[in-house]
Amino acid sequence: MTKKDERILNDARAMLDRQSEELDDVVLARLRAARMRATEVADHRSDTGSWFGSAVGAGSSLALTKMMGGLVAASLVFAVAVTVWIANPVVPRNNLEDLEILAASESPEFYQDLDFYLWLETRATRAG
Amino acid sequence: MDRFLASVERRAFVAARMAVGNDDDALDIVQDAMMKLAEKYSEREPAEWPPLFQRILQSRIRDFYRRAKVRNRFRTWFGFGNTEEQNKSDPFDEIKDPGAREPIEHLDAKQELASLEVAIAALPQRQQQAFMLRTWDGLDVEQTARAMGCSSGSVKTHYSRAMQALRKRAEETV
Repeated sequence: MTKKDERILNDARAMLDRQSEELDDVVLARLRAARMRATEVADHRSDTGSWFGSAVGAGSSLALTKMMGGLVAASLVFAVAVTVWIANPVVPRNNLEDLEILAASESPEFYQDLDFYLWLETRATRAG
Repeated sequence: MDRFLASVERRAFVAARMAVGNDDDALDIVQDAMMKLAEKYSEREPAEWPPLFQRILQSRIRDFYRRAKVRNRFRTWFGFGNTEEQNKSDPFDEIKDPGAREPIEHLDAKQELASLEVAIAALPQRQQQAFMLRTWDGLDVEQTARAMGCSSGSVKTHYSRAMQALRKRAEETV
């Protein structure tokens, strides 16, 4: 680096340092306000993060938070599905009987009168 | 986070103002950069904040330039393109009068610094970014490349061209 370059760099640093030290009050107040807003956001995020972190007993990175969210959602869906299944146990008990009727060669009227034939048979047995 | 932002806000503002040329846009850029850091990276280790903040800030400055370019293109298409250029005053006119009562040597030094400020402000955006990050923020080539989102080779080129322009300017003012 030449002396000329060194001088340019030193002058540039001095000029920029001076500018940052001589900012007017309005600018400083607006910078402070912006900083406060950003700090509030950061504080809010760290509160939320620590809640998640303590819940899982691990670090609270964004990826971990997302993973935990997914896990909680999946668990909820599973719990709801199990509850619904327990409340309405759909067991197709009569399906096989229906299938036999459909496959049989007798007419549907025969099955409609089946109770009558059974009653008739019972009476005949008692009488006999 | 508050302490970190307080330590960088002045320099960030000066760098942004140097890039965009006015206080309002510079304040918007710094505010955006602070918010982004707080929203996305507040949970990172504090040691990671300086490069992240620098990167966000430089990216915001680039976005500003892109938007300005698009705006200017629209203006040109619709036929009222050069009004800004016409209204733009000579940057030399904006240099503060150091005051006639000050000693001659102080006056010369101040004028020289003011002239340097104009020269840095007039550098193309990428050259200015490379120059500011390397010279004022003290980043090395790799760190500057990360902050600017480009290769180390590009940083070297931008920085070398910036220095060339400033050297030329210095020779002209002597």
